[in-house]
Amino acid sequence: MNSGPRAPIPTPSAAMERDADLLAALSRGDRHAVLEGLMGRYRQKVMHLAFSILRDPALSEDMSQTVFVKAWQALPKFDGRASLSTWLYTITRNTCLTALERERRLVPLEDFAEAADDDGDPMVFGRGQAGAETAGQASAEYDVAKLLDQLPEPYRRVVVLFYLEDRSCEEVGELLSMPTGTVKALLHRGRKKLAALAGESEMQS
Amino acid sequence: MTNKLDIETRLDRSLQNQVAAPRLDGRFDAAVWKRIADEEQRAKQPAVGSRSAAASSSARWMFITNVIGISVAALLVIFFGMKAFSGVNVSVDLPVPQISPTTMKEVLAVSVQGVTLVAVIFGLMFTPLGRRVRSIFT
Repeated sequence: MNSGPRAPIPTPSAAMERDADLLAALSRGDRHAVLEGLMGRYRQKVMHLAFSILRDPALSEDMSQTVFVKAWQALPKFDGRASLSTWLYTITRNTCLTALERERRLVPLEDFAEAADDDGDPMVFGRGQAGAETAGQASAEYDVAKLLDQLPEPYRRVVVLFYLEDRSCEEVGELLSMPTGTVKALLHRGRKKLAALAGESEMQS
Repeated sequence: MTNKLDIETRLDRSLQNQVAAPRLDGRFDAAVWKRIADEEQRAKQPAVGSRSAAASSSARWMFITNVIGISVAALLVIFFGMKAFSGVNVSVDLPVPQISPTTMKEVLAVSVQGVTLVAVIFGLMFTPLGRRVRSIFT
């Protein structure tokens, strides 16, 4: 299994060390500097996590903004038991799951892909990203949106995050608060399921 | 027939090319700061203002109704107390107007309509529209 470039697994103390400057700013009461630092470091990761749960780019961005607003409000109550990143990812997961429940958004992925094609947004499971490829190569690709739509949770979330996070199981584990071994197992099974679905789709066509 | 390895390779390439989320930049940060400013503005001004205004208004009404209620209760206690224990016969002769049955019927009909109207308006006051209208006048 190719799991790409490996970074050392971030333990809470390593993550705290990484954010030591932000923790120092927090102890000085400089909430502004802390939030600025958090957004600079984690906005894309928060977005990825939101996107893996909600699968809607606009809603994911909106919820990512909500996450940082909530973080701003909750910063004075941050007790430092977990690292700032773990704390932020927990807020993200809770916010997105609540949004998902509230809106009962179970929109099939192909809807997003179609919407992306309609408005030319290349970033939604972007067909536009494959634009540099030749027509032959593009046609040799699977319709990932369709396949992922048939993949159950938590495989789908892990698979999406794995590809969003430059194929790093450690990063996915940190985002989902899962041990790396669990991520690897879910990814392995998820990809097997996807391959089976892809094989089935080929048989049908 | 496509073999398993070929499917997995193509699948990996497809996932790599197609799974992507929007990239966020400084505009995202600006939007977050704006939302924070809006939230703080909202938390400071209108909510606090309307809440304290509503609280003072209801406290005033509560005080007035309490004063009326206590006064009436005190008068009744004095009246019946004097009658029962002091032996003093307090007779109150109130002029009772003579009302014909027809007029009484009309008065009752108008009163029932009035009470119904007031009840409906009172109910509407707690609908979203009613709340909006109340907020305009409070």
